[in-house]
Amino acid sequence: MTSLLVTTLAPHWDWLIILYFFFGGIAGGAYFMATLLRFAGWPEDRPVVRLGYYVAFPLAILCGLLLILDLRQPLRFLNMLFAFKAGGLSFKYWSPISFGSWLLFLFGLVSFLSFIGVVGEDRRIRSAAAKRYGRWMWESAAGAAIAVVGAVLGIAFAGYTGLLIATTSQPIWSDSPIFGALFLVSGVSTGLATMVVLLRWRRLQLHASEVRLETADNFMMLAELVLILLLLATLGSLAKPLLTGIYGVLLVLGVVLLGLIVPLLLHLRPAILKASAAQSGAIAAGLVLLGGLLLRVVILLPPQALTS
Amino acid sequence: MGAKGFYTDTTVCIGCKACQVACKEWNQLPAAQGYEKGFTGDSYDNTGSLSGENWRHVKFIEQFNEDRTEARWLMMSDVCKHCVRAGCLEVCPTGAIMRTEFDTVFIQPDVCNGCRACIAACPFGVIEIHPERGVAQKCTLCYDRLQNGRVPACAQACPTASIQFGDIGEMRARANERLKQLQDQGHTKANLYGADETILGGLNSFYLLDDKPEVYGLPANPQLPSRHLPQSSALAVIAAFFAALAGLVAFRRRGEVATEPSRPPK
Repeated sequence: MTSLLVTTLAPHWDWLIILYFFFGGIAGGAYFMATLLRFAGWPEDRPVVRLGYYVAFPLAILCGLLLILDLRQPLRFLNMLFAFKAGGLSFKYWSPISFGSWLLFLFGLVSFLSFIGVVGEDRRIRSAAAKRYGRWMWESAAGAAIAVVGAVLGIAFAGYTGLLIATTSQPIWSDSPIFGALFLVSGVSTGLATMVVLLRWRRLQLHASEVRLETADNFMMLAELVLILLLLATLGSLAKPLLTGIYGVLLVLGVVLLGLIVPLLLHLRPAILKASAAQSGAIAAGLVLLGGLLLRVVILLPPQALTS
Repeated sequence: MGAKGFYTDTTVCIGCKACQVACKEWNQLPAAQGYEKGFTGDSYDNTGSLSGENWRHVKFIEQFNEDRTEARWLMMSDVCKHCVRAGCLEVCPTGAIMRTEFDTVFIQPDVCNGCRACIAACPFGVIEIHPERGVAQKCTLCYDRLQNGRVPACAQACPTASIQFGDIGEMRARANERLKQLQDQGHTKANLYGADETILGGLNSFYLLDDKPEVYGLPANPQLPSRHLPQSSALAVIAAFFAALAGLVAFRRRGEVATEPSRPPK
């Protein structure tokens, strides 16, 4: 006797959501690590901290736009936050898509405060008030508190996307508790890589700071490798769609080899490429970003292809 | 107001699709997605699945033994289960999905913004986006008809009483009686699906099946989407602490400063 397969329907969270997850991870991870560097780093790290704050807010705005564009009724995006019909706020702490919307909103606000602060501090706006505000954000206890709140929101924003897909009934996504931790670690890693890329792009000669970022990224990449193995172990035979066909190639070669192992080697043995440490670092950062994007492609698309 | 719902006795379904037609007529749903689906080649099923414009779907399950000397043709009119603990309602971020006074699950089309979290959350593959309206749609259990004291269109149209509608308590009693009758007749695999609290607190649209749920494309043990949330969140929090620790260890390093001089900060 034959039997039907059990099916769910796919939500069609495709490229807009993949990019949202990717840029959201960078924004949250960069802000979190920038704040950590601000409090735990050295005085010469200050320009690098500013890079983290420069990148977080524009990417948070981009994330908001991607999410809105992905809605089938984009003009109703505020329904995510406010219950206009019933009155009050739309907030469910037990629904990742609900608390994620609030995370994005609040992280956007706080990262904006920090963004304006570094713009003022860098004197990109020639205004005494902006300069005063920038100094206040950097030196005052209130400015420090804002940064800490932003860091907590940022790290939560980087990781909630994994919880979002885990809190579904979709095959693979709902079969492992690893996704939240994996996306969080990957978000921090890509945030650090983005800071390295910006550091190179702006030609800041801050070798010691760059090494610190890369050292932190080494920890994150090792953790990501472990989490990918744990993910496959918890999925067991259900992991087959992630490991076969084009997605298997992307996961093994793109995410694990190019996105994690090669950057780790370049950080630990920069001479492999017969390039300068700075060039090796820039290549490694680019590969980390590529791996971070591919990770989200490999996690998001195959389960939906099963259920479409 | 007591809970209302459907009891669907699949053993008397004849696959006439009167329920599908009645549903489409009453709810003004289009015939097909631009007629693109065509013939599926899957028995008498050219609908394929429940969707934003197919709120009822009659499944045709053809079963043969290996040498095809024995055959069985099962039919089942599928619909939203109106779960007592509904995954779609649990995750909906806008509050568009609500529980009605009849204990049914209803999507408010003027509130939904098409985020599709409910589609991902439903273990039965019931909800989809209506291609023209751009909002998530599914069976309303004819909420408008219930508010006016009328029976849902599908149940009214069903010619064999496969789809019955009424108070859930009465429906369950009727289903248990019919189950006993079938078992006495030798239908050893007959079972009720969702008629008690074991599946998502109970399904307000439950089924009498003549085989295992999987045979009908129904999950044997559907779960709420939030079942992994505490565990997943705890692991994510541990990962966050690890990231903080890794940052602290890395950022306190001083060794490399001497290798290349740093430009003083602006």
